[in-house]
Order: sequence, then structure tokens, then C-alpha cells
Amino acid sequence: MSLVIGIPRALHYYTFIPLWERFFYELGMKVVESGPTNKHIVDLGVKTTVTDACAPIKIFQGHAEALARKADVVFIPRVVSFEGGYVFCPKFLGLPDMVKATVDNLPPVIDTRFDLRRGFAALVRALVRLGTELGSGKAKAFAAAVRAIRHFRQSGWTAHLRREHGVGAVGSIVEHGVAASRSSECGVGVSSRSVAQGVAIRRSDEHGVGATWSSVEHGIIRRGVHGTEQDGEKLPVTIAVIGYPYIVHDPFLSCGMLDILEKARVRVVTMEDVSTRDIEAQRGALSKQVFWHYSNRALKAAYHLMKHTEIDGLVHATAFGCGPDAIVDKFLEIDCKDEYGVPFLSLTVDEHSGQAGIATRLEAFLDMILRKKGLSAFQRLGGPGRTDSGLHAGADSRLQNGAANGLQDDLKVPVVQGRQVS
Amino acid sequence: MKITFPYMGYYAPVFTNLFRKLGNEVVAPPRPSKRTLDLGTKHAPEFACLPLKILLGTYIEALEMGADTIVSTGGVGPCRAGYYTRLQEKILRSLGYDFRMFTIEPIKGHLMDIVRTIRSFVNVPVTKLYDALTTTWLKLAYIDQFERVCHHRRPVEINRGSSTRLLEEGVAAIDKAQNCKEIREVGRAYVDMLGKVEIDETKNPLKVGIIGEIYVVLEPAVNFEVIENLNKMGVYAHRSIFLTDWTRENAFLDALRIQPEKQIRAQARPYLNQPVGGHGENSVGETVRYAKSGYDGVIQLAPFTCIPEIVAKSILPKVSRDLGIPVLTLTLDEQTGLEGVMTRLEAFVDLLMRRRLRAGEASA
Ligand code: SF4
Ligand code: SF4
Repeated sequence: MSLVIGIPRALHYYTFIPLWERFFYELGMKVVESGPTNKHIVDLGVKTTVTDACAPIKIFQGHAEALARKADVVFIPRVVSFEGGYVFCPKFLGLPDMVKATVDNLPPVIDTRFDLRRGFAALVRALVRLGTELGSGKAKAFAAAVRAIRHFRQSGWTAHLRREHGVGAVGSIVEHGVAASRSSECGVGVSSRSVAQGVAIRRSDEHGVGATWSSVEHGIIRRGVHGTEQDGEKLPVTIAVIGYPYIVHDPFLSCGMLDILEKARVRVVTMEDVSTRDIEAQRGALSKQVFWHYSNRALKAAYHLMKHTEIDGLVHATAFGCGPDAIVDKFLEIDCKDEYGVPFLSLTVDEHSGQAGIATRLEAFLDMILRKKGLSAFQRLGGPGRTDSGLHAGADSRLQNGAANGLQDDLKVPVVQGRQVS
Repeated sequence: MKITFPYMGYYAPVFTNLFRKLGNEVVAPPRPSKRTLDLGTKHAPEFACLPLKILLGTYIEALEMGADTIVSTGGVGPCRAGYYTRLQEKILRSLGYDFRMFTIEPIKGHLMDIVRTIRSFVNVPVTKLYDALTTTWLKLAYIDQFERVCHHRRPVEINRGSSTRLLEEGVAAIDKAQNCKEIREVGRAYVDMLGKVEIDETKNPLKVGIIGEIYVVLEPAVNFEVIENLNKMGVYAHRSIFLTDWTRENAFLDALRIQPEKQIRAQARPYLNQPVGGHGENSVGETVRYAKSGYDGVIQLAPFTCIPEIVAKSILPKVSRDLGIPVLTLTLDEQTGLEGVMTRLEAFVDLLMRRRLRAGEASA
């Protein structure tokens, strides 16, 4: 019987799953992951966490607990740093300790430390340590580590750290490569070999738009839509949704933000669409580098998008009570307004947020952008017959009446002048 | 150049003095008030921690009073404090204030960087600089010493208020003292007097440890004078953080690679095996230490959304269960009111009292 490793589908999962999964696969172990976030998982998490913890942490603990009895060990790495100079949010650093102190009846927790501040070799060392801890030989662990890292570099890491532009994907998030995957009563399943081995899966969503999930991304992180889409016509509005992957790409936590926008025929870009090179090129925009891994990337990706691409608006998706985001959000708010003249909307989500509320605020934001661009609702929706594409009924009537009142209240910053896309 | 800086409890006058000695005009920061907090809350992000809001409010007030230079400390993460000044600067500039901001970054091993930053607001020869720094250091050390003694006497003093009065007199006297010799004389005299405050020897007060984030632990104006209030209930409160050992451990000894905090780290390790910034690790380690040295309880002061303290707070219930020490967490934000804090303190003290009585009966 091979060892079954449980991996909670939250936080660093969204970035590092290709690495972890490939590594365990190479060692001949089985990976079980908690399914996509759902109400049950959230309830579990809320029970074991302090009230002022941020929603992603609550959700993580829910995922961890959902793995009890499903796995022989639970893998909760202590991810300290993956790039010299940047560390993860302190809650990531204390994550295994928090889980161990609060979630009872968990199988043994494996909390390997990944701290690459002193160089890349630490990654190999950490993986070898992890492998031997799980009972495999040093040589085998080393070989697995090398292979997993190569896979991660080509795929996951490329996707996350050095992603190239140009590949588009639209549609609902598939779990882990859809068909190849699983689903069981509790939403926990075993990920497939085909995924680990790198089988790309192509699919179309209900609008008939081609979508690609490379094995790499396991369908977890959606790439933005680039270029022309939908019957060869250009989507009229582009919005950058900036936020940590475990918020933006968790449809439950983000209240389906990306879906709402895409159904409204908006071209969406996220921070994962900006390459590491482009991100680091923005160093000069800050007098001191933000030292948290994801916050640094989010902020600089936003600067890149505002400076070098044409976006009509920027949405910051942030979790209630998030510490680092208090800083990121204020920087974005001020810079969008004073520096770049890009309409800005800050959307705070937590475990109780409702989709309706988020949709309403996005709509109002869209309306404002459209008015500024002089576009009508019809143009946005692609002509008659498309009016059912995911917007609230109320939105259109409001748009046709041209009722702008109350809009400013919805927006965090009343934007005076926005950039026009030619 | 008119300098201002963060307000911090009894230390504020000492820093005012320091900057004056260095040849600057100083706008002494006002003690945080309701207005300070309101200003800070209005302009800071909603989820910024309380210290950031208070400091932002303080800076606005000081800038209104004519300050044009702000001096503060930075950090290298992983906690937010390291990015405070940049955020505050950004906000203040967007509000239209014109000023200079100096951040003293405690970068390990780069003493020269600190020196360089400090040089920009030092307008006196090096000999005087040395003098200014040593007197400041001594003053801070004595103020800490006064407070330590006062915390011991106040819960059991016979004449209510006598230790507080002496403490305040002492701080004022230290502030006036000009050179090291005078400071030592005044300092010793007051430590002595405080040590002789009449107390009721028969009392064996409850002992409580105070842990948490440095700013809210050190600043009585934002922690609702928690120590004084506990003392008034006849409870001895041990503050785990003092500025003189804090500065030494972090800025100076760190540069020399000496780690006196190692012990606390070791105590924390079974529960939290990783520094998480701020005082998160200390909070856990110190709770263990208090439990092992026979304290009756621990009070954690945590600003709302404070990351390291949330980590600690998640772990403390387990420490509390394992070692049998009650822990009360007071989460502080702009909505916290004195009444609520007092009610919780009283309930906690009640609980500790009952525990002690029960333990006494059991052993009798
Ligand atoms: S970065 Fe924010 S959302 Fe993420 S774990 Fe830290 S506090 Fe929570
Ligand atoms: S320790 Fe807490 S209160 Fe202090 S700066 Fe960090 S997050 Fe804010």
C-alpha cells in the first residue's frame, strides 16, 4: 500500500501544486487533495480558527480538516521564501503550527520548511528531506526532486514565475484537469496520473470559446484572455483583477468574480499573466521593495499592466482583515488615482460574501467604465440576444436609464479621468 | 528642519531632548488622543493595524503643528512594521503635506547604513553625538527601571497613587538632568524611593504577564493603561517588553550577532517553530515562560489584524491547555472602549482569583 499524502487545496497550493504533486508521484505515493472550496469546508475552517483570521486561512484549515481520515499524512509545508529577498505572509510562516494547535484528529502533519533565501539548492535539500521523512531512500528522493523541479520549472513555475503572454483561456474552472480527475461525496478525490504526467486538456465553455488548460496549471489558475476572442471581434473592455491566486482563482472565495466578468464579455487579466521579468522591471516604482512574495508580485504586476498595457479598470480582490493588503490596497488606490488615472475598485471578500453583492459592485464599475468609453450596453453585450449573458436583470435597465446616481458610493475612489483606449 | 517622531509613553520627552541635543528644532509629538485616532482611522486603510493608525494620526497632528521632518524606524519584514513609513509617506503626500521622512532601517550587520541615515539629522560634532546618545540611553534605561519597580509596588501600596506619583516625578526629573552623572544620581534616588514606597507585606497579589505587540504593550494611551488598571485591582502585572532591552536585542546586539532572545525562541519552539515577525514568537515563548514560573495568567494585547499576534493567538489556546495557564486576548482597534476592556479585565481577574482559591483548598 503506497502512502497517501493529503494536500489542502488552499493558499500556496495554487502556485506549488505542480511541484508537490509531481514529487510525490515520482516517489510512488498517492496524492489526495481536498476538493474545491465549498460551504462544508468553510464551516469546518471557521470552527477552528480565531475570528479575526483572514478568510484564506480559515478556508485552509477547513481544507486540512477535510483531509482527516482520507490521508495517511497531511502535507502542510512551511513556505517561508521562494525567491531571495521575499518572504511569505507571516501567516504562511506559522501555518503548520496554527493547524497543529487547533485542528484535532489530524493525521501526522508534514511541515517541511522551504526557505530559498540562501539560494536555490535549498529547494532540492528540502525536497530530499521531505522524501526521506516519508520513508524513501536519499537517492530516490533526490532523483524525484530533480524531476519534480524540472517539471515545475517547465510548467508550474513557468506559469507562475516566468509566464509568457499569449495563450488564452476562458471558462469555468475545471478541477484539476476535469475528466481525468475525480470527485467523491466530500469533494475529495485522488488526482489522476494523466495530470501528473502532463496531459494537456482542451475544452470549450458554453460560449464556444476555446480554452486551454495545460497540465501545468492543472486548470487551477486561469490565464487571461489575450487578443481577439469571441467571433473574431475584439472584446471592448479589459479589466485587471489583481489579487492573490488563492483568492482570485478560488471561485468560492472570490464569489466567481472572474466568471461574472467574463460572462459580461470583459477581457480579464490577472497577475499570473505578467511574467516575472516584467514584474521585476517595476522595481523602480517603489522606494522600498515590498517584502512579501505575493504582495510584491501583485503590486508590481498592477504597475506593469497600467504602464505597458491598455486596461480600462483595475479590480483589487482582497480578503477581509488581510494584513499585507492594507498596504497593497492603499498603494493601488492612490496610484490608480494620482498616477495612472485608471478606474479602481477594491472588492473585499470573506467567507460570508454573497455573489449578488460582488456582482452588483462589478456591474456598477463596468457601467462607469463603459460610459466613459462611450459604449452602449448593446455593444458590450455583443448585440441583441446576448443580454442574458450573466448580468443581473437590473443592470441593464439601470444602464439604459443612464442612472449614474449612487454609482460613486459604490466605488472606493471617484475617478475623475480615465484613460481612453484608442 | 523641525523634527517629529512616534510618540511612545514615558519615552517621548527623552527623544525630544535627543533631537534637540543633536541641533534640531523639535515638534514634540502630542500624546495620542481621540482626535489622533480619528485622524489616523480616517486616512489609513481600514485593515491597517492600530499602531499604524495612531502613528499616522500623530504625524498629521505634528505636521499641523509645523513639523517638516518625520523620523521613524523601519524593518525588513516579515511584519508590516517594516513597510509602515512608506505607506504613511504615501498617504501623507497624497493628502498634500510636504515633509521629509527618515527611516532608520535596522538592517542586520549594516551599522553604517544606520549611521548614515542618522547623520542626516545630526548637526553637531561627533563628540557631542556620543554624549547625546549615551545620555539618551541612560535615561531610557532608568525610566524602564522606574517602571519595573513601580509595577512591583503599585499593586500592594498602602497609600493609593503614591508609586504613580513618584514615577511621574522621576520621569520629569530624569528629563531635566543634563549629563550622565546627574542622570545616575537622579535615577538612583528615584529607584530607591520607589523601592521604599509603603506596601502591605501580607498581600500576595495575583501575578499576570503582559505580552503582545510592542507598540500597544508600551503605549499606555492605546492599551487603556492596562497595567495601571490591573495594579489598581491589586494585581501584579509583568510587562514582557521594555524599550531598553528591545533596542539592544534588535538593533545593537543583532549587529554583533548575539541573540539573547534565543531562550524565548527555545520556549516557543514546541508550539511555534518559526519567527513570524513582530512579537509573535515572543508572545508564545513568554506565555510558556510565565506558565513555568508560576504566574496566574497571561494577557495578550493584540491590535486588530496584527498578523504575528493572530498567529500567536491561534496557538495560545493550546499552550494554555497544555500548561494550565489562562490567557486573555484583548484585541484593540479604534472601536475598543475603556468600559469593555475593564469588564473583561475584571472578569479575568475574578477567574484567576477563583482558580487560586481552588488550588489553595486542594492543597490544604
Ligand atoms: S496575505 Fe493576507 S490573505 Fe494571505 S494569508 Fe496573509 S493575511 Fe491572509
Ligand atoms: S506587529 Fe502587528 S501591529 Fe505591529 S506592525 Fe506588525 S502587524 Fe502591525
